[in-house]
Amino acid sequence: MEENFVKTHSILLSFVTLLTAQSTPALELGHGFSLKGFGTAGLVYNGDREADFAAESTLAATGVGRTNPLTYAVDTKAGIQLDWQVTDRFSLTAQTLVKQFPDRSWNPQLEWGYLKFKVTPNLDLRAGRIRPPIYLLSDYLDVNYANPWVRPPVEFYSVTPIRRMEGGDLLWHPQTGAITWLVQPYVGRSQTAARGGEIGLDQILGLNVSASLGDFTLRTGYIHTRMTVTSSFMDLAFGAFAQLCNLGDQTACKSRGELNHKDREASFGSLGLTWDNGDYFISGEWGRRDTDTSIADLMSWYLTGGARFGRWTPYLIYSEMISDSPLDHERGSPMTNFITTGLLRGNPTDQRTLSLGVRYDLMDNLAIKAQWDHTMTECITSPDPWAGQATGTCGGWFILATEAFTRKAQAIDLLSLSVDFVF
Amino acid sequence: MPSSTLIVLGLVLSLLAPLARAEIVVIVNAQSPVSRLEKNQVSDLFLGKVATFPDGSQAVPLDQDNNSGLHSEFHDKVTGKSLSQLRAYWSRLVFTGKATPPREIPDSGQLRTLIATNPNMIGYIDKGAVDTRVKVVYSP
Repeated sequence: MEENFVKTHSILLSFVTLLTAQSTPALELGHGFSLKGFGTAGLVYNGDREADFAAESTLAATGVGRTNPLTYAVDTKAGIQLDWQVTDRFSLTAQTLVKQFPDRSWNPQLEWGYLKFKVTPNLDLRAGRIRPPIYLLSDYLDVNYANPWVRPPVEFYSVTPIRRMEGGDLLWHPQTGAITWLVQPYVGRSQTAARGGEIGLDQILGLNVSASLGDFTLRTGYIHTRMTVTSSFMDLAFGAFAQLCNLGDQTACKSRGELNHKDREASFGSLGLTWDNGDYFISGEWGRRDTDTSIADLMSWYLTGGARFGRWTPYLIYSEMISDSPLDHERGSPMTNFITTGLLRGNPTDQRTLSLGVRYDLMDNLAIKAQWDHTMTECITSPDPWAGQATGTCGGWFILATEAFTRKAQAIDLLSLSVDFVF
Repeated sequence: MPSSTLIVLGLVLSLLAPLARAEIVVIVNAQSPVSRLEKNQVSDLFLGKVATFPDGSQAVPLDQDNNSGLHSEFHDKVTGKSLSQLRAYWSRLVFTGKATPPREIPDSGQLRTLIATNPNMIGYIDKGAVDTRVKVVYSP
């Protein structure tokens, strides 16, 4: 911990040194090489000691609250990117990112690394490690400077934890009248470390389309994949189903097949609209996740708006997540029911958040932000599905929660302060 | 009027002079087939939303130095973005390698010379700096 702290701080310090030494947005190194960077130094306070809030619920190792009421671990990060324009048509991009990863380490990881080929001025082909554009903000999820808020709304941006994939995409920018388009089909596969397990995605197939007209941008996307989730908990549960099945429990055999997490279909579709006239902005996104596993299907959305008064940008966000997976599955022996309950009880993650914040642009490449979040979780429980076993939870999207936290609806307040920069 | 007042007035005027707005024009190479552009077309080019001129040929926008008055006036009138808004805007694109902001040229003379030698380039300068090697395609 101590070592990590020192490491992070020395990295941030060197970033700040680079930042102040440089007034242009990138360092041109000659021979077509350029270096760019971004980062956030953030502090979050959560007075509730029963659960952790995390910016990426599925992936984060720890958050703020139960683990520590005040931490830099939630938002602090730094990225550095090296671009090499090899020829007029070929370029290489590599970006490493440092933040707290699911294994609690702060070791830099290669977040993007790809070769780009310019087929025509309006058509690019990329191959390598890229981020699938599943959200409106996918491209700059880590670049907090690019957004008005301290962090993208978690109810929406934690839903599909696919940060990167090995694959390729096509960036096509056709134009029809005054509308400029981006049509981006992509394919790939990915293996992502999550808290206590791994998420493997094969046969990723997706499409991202956006249309801009004046101050408006309309965007839609769809991704389909075959998902494999591995964790010691899942291994234990499905191992037990297998044993019960061998002993002749037919429900265990069925549930094992129906609820399993190996090579199952998963998809996410979303729609977003933004309007930004420079002085005011309003934007919103809606998305739906479906998985052919015991993991919850859900719907989520957010709406945000703000106004720019010189260097000040006050803003508001309302975001909500609604799960609609059944808490019930076919009944069988008490042992089978027990396992099923264990698998399904964590599914409801329903919650909503109202956020109020302000961004202050201190320098041309440095912004300070303060934000208050008020999150309300909802209880989705099934009182007595199988002989007195209550199931469901009220824990929302919080992590590392105590049993007490998941038993009643919560109202949690977070206070965040961050400094974001780019160079 | 006492001469000291005149001196003070002169000083104040000379301080205000750099703030006086120049008349900006958007220029391309004199040989370019492009003859006229609309405001939104110029804006799209300088924001990297479009990479080609209306006739399909490649467009290479050149910006003025971001500390210059020309830079802030052009973006105020054409793209509608302040310097920090421009930074936020480009940081959405550069950290994916999707696009790079226009090259910033330190002075108008150099910018005009670059455009005079390359029919794909487009930039903006003070109206008074226009010569025969370039032509005006848009005046904000």
